[in-house]
Amino acid sequence: MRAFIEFKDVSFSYDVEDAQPVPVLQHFDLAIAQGDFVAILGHNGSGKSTVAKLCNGIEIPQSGDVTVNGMNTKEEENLLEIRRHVGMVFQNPDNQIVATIVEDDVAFGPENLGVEPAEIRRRVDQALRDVGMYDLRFSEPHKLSGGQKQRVAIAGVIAMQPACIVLDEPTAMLDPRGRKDVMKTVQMLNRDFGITVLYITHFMEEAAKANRVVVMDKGRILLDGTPREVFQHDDALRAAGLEVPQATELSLLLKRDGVPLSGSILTIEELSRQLEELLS
Amino acid sequence: MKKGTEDVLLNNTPILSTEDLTYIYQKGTNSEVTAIQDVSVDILQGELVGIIGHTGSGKSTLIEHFNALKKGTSGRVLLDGSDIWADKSKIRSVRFRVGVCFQYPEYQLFEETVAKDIAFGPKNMGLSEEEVNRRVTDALTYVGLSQSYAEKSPFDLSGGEKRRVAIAGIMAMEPQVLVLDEPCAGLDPKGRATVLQMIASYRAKTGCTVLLVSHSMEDVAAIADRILVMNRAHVAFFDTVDAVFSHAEELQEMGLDIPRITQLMLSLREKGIDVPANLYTVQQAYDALRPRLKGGSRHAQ
Repeated sequence: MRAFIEFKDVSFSYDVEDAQPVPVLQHFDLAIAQGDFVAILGHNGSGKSTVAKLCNGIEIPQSGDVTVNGMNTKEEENLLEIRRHVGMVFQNPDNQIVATIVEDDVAFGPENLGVEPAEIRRRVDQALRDVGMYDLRFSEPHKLSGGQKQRVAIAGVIAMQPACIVLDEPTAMLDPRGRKDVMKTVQMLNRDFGITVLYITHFMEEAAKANRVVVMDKGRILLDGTPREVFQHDDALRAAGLEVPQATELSLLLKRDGVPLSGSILTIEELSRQLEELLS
Repeated sequence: MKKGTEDVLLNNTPILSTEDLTYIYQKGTNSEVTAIQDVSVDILQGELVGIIGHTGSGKSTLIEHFNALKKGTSGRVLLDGSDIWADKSKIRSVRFRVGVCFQYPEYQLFEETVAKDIAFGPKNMGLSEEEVNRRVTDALTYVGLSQSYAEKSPFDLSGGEKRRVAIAGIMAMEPQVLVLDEPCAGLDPKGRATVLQMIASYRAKTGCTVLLVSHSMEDVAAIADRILVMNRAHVAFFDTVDAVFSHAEELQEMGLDIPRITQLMLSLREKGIDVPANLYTVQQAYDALRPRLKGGSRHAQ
């Protein structure tokens, strides 16, 4: 599958007043395939959010190149087109909502792109249906729950019909239902619409739902593979300040004692099924 | 019930209580919203209470009443038996006795050094320089940062360290009740574990009452004595961890959940396997399941 977003030998550091710049990424390479669902894990300060910001030209690498659908983010004239292709959703829903009515907020993006009014109407309605927020289209955003606000933010992004969505810890501030609803929405966008997803999270159970997991540590890639492959490396993950899903953790403990559990286990359901056979 | 919980609950003197506490936003307008209604709870001296509830359930409004940032539309808040609003000149001291650490407290760091930032609260209390210094030293220990951090700029620290400095600033006021609103939000797993560990050890060392607001069922189950569940402005449950998490369906209807390990145990029970339901951590599940599983030693394979 061809790469939709590509990082080639990217180095990036943040400037600090009266001190040496802080390097975040050094000679970093990553290719995200079109239509893939990639989770990025890493401790605070590992460079995850920098990767997100480099994807649509919010930050530009000091050396190396980031390309989106072949367009280099360094070329100023590409930026509008790149941002049309790559939508961003951030952690705090309250910082992303600009309008006083839900549907106006969703219309903000396509309006800025100069989309025809009739087409905006169609896209806004469709986007709100897609995220399950159509019934609340006339609501005031501040009266919504955190999970609902995040789904409005996602609707605002998909109304721009991007090929890719980058979400930076979209569920960090949400309650359990809000977390589930946002994850289901993102999975649906990837599965049904083929939207490429880059999903940054601190929740291992969310990363387990991706097709591919990239683990970052100190600005480089520590592990890269399917969730089943990556989460077998529990010691390496713990050393990097992370963990594995609880079902995986428990199954690894039991396996190491010689309990015959087969395959690599990611979910409570899988573990329950295997334990049922061994215990009954 | 976890070790020590029974002692705390038997020693049942309330330190902080609410009586029919109600708060209505924009009262008298047509956009009135009742954030909390008729909340009556007794928080006991020395207990660690987890507070859970969906977004908008009233958790944050409730804790803003505990240190008098909000005054109930009706009802009372009692601290050590006295109405906190009875004498308005004492409100400031209520804020020293009930320390509230809000979400993302690291955004409120502002001093040049970690020590000065932590000292800000104790200085406002009018304590002597010597006492302020002692508290700064103790607070750094509570949050697991070495004394070498004292002279660093808070802005040079990692996200998790900044969070711990901000929490140390509240602990340094040595409040009788420490309230933490989602102290682990946005932290990586190691950061989360460190902050939880630090709260548990602070509580063990000081005997202080702690209220912990969280969206993580796993975290709350692991460290709380009792859990207060808010749902649509009302108290849905206020009971021991075991009692609260025995209401799986009701919790899910409220937009909440039960810990994942508890889900595993319940699913095994549904399949007719007799395992305890009241387990919450990987270690507890391992200890319960391991003796019943064949496979013997590590050499068995």
